[in-house]
Order: sequence, then structure tokens, then C-alpha cells
Amino acid sequence: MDKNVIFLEPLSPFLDDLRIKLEQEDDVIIFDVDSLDEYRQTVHILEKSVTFSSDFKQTQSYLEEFKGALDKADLKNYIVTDRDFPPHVVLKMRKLGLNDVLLEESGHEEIIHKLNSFFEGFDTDLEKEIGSKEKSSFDFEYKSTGQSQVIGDSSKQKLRKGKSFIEFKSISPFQNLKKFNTSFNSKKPPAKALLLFSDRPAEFHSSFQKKNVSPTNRPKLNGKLVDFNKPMDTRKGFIANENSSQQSLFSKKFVPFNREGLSKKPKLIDFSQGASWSNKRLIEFQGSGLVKKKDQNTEQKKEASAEDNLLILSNIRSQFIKDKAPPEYTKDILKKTPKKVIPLTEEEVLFFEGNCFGIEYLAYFNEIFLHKETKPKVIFKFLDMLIYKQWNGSVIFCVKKGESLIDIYSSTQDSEDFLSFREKISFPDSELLTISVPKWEDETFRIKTNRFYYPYFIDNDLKGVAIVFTNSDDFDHQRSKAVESFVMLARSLYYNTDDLL
Amino acid sequence: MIFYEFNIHWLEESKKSLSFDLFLYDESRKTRFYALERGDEFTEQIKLELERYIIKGAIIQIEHKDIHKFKIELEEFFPEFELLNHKKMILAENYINREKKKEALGHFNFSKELENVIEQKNSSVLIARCLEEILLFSFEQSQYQSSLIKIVEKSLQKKGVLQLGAAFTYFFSKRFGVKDELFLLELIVLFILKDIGLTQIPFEKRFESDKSDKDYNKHTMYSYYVLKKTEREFSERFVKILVDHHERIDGRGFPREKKGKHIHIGAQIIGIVDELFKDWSFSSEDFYKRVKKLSMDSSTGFSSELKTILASLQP
Repeated sequence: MDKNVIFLEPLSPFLDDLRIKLEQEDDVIIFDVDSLDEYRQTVHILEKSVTFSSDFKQTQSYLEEFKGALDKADLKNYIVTDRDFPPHVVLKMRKLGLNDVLLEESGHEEIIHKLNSFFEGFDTDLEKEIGSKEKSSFDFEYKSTGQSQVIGDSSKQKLRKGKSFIEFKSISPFQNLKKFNTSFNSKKPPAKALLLFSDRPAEFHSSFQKKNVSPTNRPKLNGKLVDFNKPMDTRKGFIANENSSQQSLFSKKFVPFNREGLSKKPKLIDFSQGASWSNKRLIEFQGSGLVKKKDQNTEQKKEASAEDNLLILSNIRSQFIKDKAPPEYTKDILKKTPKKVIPLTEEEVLFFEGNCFGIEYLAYFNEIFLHKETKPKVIFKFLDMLIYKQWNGSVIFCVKKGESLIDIYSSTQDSEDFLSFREKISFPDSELLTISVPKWEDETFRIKTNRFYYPYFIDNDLKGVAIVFTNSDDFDHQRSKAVESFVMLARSLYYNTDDLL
Repeated sequence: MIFYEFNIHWLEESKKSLSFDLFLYDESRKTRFYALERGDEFTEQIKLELERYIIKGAIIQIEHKDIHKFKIELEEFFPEFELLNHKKMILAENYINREKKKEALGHFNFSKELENVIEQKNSSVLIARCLEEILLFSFEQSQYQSSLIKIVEKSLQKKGVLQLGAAFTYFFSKRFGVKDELFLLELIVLFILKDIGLTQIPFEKRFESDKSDKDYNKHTMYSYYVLKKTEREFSERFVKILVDHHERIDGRGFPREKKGKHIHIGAQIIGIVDELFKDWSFSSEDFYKRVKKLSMDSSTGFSSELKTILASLQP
């Protein structure tokens, strides 16, 4: 892997020397960057990189700007400085994404070591990845005396001396992992069997459990027993090019059966290196991907290695389940993270409950108002009813006559306590007559029994006032608007107040 | 479409035993089916079943006598799920059975039904049909639409001329080719509320029709003013139609004497229906006279397309 190193200019003499040193390395690619824009372009192109800088302020600015982007495991940011920063400054910078502050006195070697260890880590990861790919494959090994060649996985070609064997590593048994998991039990004994058709999990499992492969206890392929002693070309899974005889078999090229699940093209196997086809040949299931030599004389070793393989498989399986399988929707999970359930719904339908804001009453009022025989008192009464229904309130409609107000309608005028009700209004007429805009007694709506004054002006002349008493805990600014919209509906009656008196 | 909410529906008080039924709404089948046995108490098993179905994304209707107690228990158990009320339950049910209901409603001959309504002097059939169709809009996905539905629902409770006019507006607009459900809803609400501004002019002038009268001339603007006071926001289209419903394409309307394409088609629809039902008192002869006059007279100031549709309503 190429070691991408970015130097953020301006550089200190120490960093300059370091750059010169690194330039001499073959696998190091150096990028000199002197602006943030350039840095942005560079850092997004590179998959893995290490950034060195010596200017504190510039480092802080680029870290702040690329905070989201730099917060990755494959990017490292170092400040190389000749003095020690206070801990709180370092902490702040670390939060922004700085990995470390390196002192110049530590020398170039330490920095180069850090650089190498960072990139070597990825190399190791790559190897692991390759290894895990192997683990997820079922390998088959042909063994014979003499030279051997490992084929099947393009990422790993091996040449071994002493014994010849063949590996086929292109079948992924985890393609149908779900099925696989259902039948797989790590407690079950290991098996040594030919598993050619891994896309048949049931058959695979049944054969996998078998400890000893005896003539009567062999794995079946399409209902037929697999006979290991027969020449390879007669078995399913392999196609001999020309001759089916054992000797010619190794002089010709072998083509593994390209079935579903084999995404890669089959590789030609060359047996022309003097390997002889022996009756002792074995096809060994290598679940772990680790090539283990089969020794017929050491049965115990063989079993132990198979057990190891099984253990590794089990680990892979549990890891896979951990990574890929959806969480179980238990009661606890539901309580803790209820939102996790929501993605299950493909599309969410929201139902809104309509809020009319009192407009439906306007429709009722409109109907009454546009009736030919409707009288003013009916309108007042209807408005009174609305206010009572909505806020358990009451209303008084007054008309101005001279310098006083005369009640023309009151919610309680028919009852005995009308006078006391009227007396409750602490607002004297003189003050009521000075009201020029609609007004609430308590604009904060904290008191339960609030009062609303609505003056009726016709051509800038005050014609009367409506006083609304509300008696509701559930009252706010939003609802207060509806009161105003109700009371103003009586305005048409105030054009000619003489008719009302 | 999957629902993950469940609903509660309470039993009648007469049912003494503590019992509840759970129903699921299967999205794929679009049907409601019985899911659980009737239970006497909220057992752990029932809880687990509920949980299972909720995760599966089902609407569950629960019938329970002591609904408040049951609701508390459910909320304790499923704090993250909203418990819907009966109204939402109906909305969801309407949504699911929408297509079926539409099929069940079948073909509707507006002209013929209108004829029957006028002959029998009974507007209930047309209004009921309009409400039925409107309630199929109950899958509303916006607060605005749901508010309009509620206004229509409440406004069409009575069977007067105003309501008949609103229902007529709905069917007339559909025949004209209006398919947007929101627009149809707006037109109904507009027909009901278009004259609310008359409450701001002298009481005796509320039946005025002379545009030269200054007060009457202003009533469309007052309508907007009154509705604005309710703090309810309406769409720009709604306001435009409300203010222009007395405008005519020949420029002889009011208040701003707009012409031709400057008048929204919705305003023209409201205008023509308003002319049709103004001061009308269920007289069949009078109604068809008006229809004929409006569809034939070139001086009415309505577009020819609307007149053609109107003419087709004549028996």
C-alpha cells in the first residue's frame, strides 16, 4: 500500500527535513498542500493518509473545517512542534480530530515509525480480510506426493513443495447463511467430507455431521453416493477435458465445475508437474480456509484440526449474526429505542385530526344570519351560545347612548342575578367608552376567569361594546382569536343602534 | 402501506363484563380480521400478542369497557405508541377500505339525482352523497386538508339551501373536471363561507345585490377579514377565490372588476352556483329557469365551458 503523506505548509525546518527523508522512500507519496481548498481536494481523493503540519493556527483552522470528514480511522493528523502545548489546548485539538502532538526532539525516526505502523496496520487488515474471505469459503485439497500448487483464490496463490494439493476456494457458503445457521450447530462433531455443492445447505449439513466417511456413510450428491475411489472426472463437479484415465488426467488441464455460486471464472489446474494420481488422494474440507495438510496416519491430528476449523467457523457465524442480523425486538429494546421499530414500516401514513378553529361555527352563523326572518336578538343569542359552549363563558352586548352604555343583551339578563353580574364588572362605563381596540383583561391568560372587551366602531364612531367573560382553564392566545372572530360577527347590528334600543 | 398504530374503541356501558376484542388491519388484504380471542383481562400473553402485531405494523382496534383504565395500562406498556382516538380509527379504516367503498358507491348520475332532489324538495340525498364521498378523502395527509374536511363535515349536518348549494358545487366542479380533492374541499368550504363578510355591513343590506352599494361591494373583502381573524391559515387559491367570487369575465363584476383569465376558475364556479341558489326556496320550476338563463344568457359573465356544463344539467 502506498503511504500517502500530506505536508501542510508552511513547514518548520524539522518537517522540511522529514519530507526530504520520506521522499527517498519508494512507497511514500508526498503531497505538499498550501491552501485549505487544495487540502480538501487531496484528502477526499486519498483513501488513507497522514497529515503533518507545524503551524498551530492553520492546523486548527483545517481541523475545524474538516471536522466531519477527518473523523475517520483512515486519516491521521499530527502537529510536529518544537514546544509542548498546554493540555487543554491539546484536548481541544484532539476533539477536533487531531491524533497527536509530536515533539521535534523525539526525532525523525519516531515519526517515521508512527507513519509505518499506521500504514502497516492497514496492510495487516488487508491480509485479515483476505483470510476472512478464505474462511468464508469451503476449500478442497487434493494431496499427492511431489510438488503442489494452490489455486482457486486469485488473491492468494501458493506454491508448496513436497506435496501437491489443490484448493478450490470460490464457493461462498455464507451466501445462504440464514439456511446455514438454522442447521448449523457448533456442538456437533466435526466432519470430514466432500462438500461439493455448498449451495445445498441441508445436504451440506447432513454430510458435515458425519464423523467418518465410510462407504455406507458417505455424503450424497443428488441422491447418489460419492465414491472417492473413483476417478475424478466421473464425479460431478469436475469435468475432464479429454481423457478420463488417471495418468492423462494430470497431464491435462482440469476445469472445476462452474455452477451457481461460482462467480469467478474457473481456473485451469495444471497437473503436469509430475504429480501422480493416487488412491490415497483425499479431498478435505477446509472450513477455516487454513490449508492443513492431511496425514492419513495421524487421525487424531486430523480431527483436532477439523475441530479448530469448526471453532473458527462458529466464530465467523456468531460474528456474522452479530453484524448482520436485525436486533430482536424485545420489550426492553422497544422501550429503550422505540424508533428502531419505525423503519419496519415501508411508508408511514399520518392522520391529522382536523382543527376548525371555530370556523364550523361561522358556517352555522352564516346560515342563521342569511335567513330573512332572523332578528338581532337571535344573533346575539347564538353568539352567546357559542361562547358558552366553547369556553363556558358569558357575554354582554352594550350600546352607547350619549356618554353611557346600555345593555341590550346579556347572558344572564333573564335571571335574578343579572344585577349582581353587571356589578361584577369593575370597569366603569367611562373607561369602557375609552377602549379603542379589542382588549383582554389579562393578556397572559393565566387567570381562569378572564374578560374581553370588544368595541364596535362604525366610521370611527364608537357604537357599543361587547364584554365577554371566559371561565376556562384551557385558554391561550390561539383560542382568544376565536373569541374576537365570534364577537365581531355582531358588527352589522351596530350600524343602526336605534333599532336595538 | 403499513400502519403501526393501534386504536381504541370503547364498548357500550351496557356491557358489564371487562372484555375487549383485538382486530388487525391487514394492509395486503385491505380487510379487518379478528386477531385475538376475547379476553377478560390484560394478560401478559395478550401484551405479547399486541407487541407482535404492533411490530408487524398493524392497526389494532380495541374494544374495552373501561377504556381509560385500559389506555393507562397500554400506555405503560407501549409508551412509544400513540393511542389514537375513534376519529382517527375511522380515518384509518376509511383509508384502508377506500377503494372498496368507492366501488360500493358506484356510478352516480348527478343530473338525475338533482332532478329528484328538486322534485321532492329534499336536499338530503345530494348532501349525504357529497358527505359520503368527502369522507373518502379521509386519508388526508395534511393538517389543512383535515381541517377542511372537518368544516365540511360539520357544515353539511343540516339540509338547507346553503348545504345543497355546497353539495351542488362539489358535483358541478367534478363534472367540470376538477379532480384535486383538496381543491374540491376548498370549493365546498368557500361556498359555505363566501358571504360571511356580510356580517360587517349594515344588517338590512345583507340581501343586497347591487354592486354599486359601497357596503355590499366590500363584503368579499370583509369575508377575508373575518376568516383571517380566526387565525386559520388558508391557501392563496382559497383567498383568491373568496375575494373574486363576484368577479365576471366580462369585467362587470366587483370589487375589482377583473376580467377573463385574471379570475380563478374556482371563483367562476362559486359565482355561477351562487347565482343559481341565491334566494332560492326549493322551487323546481324556478331552479331550471335559472339554469336555462345562466347557460343561455351571454351577459352573465361566466365562461362558456361552465355554461355548457350547466346546460347539460337540464332535464
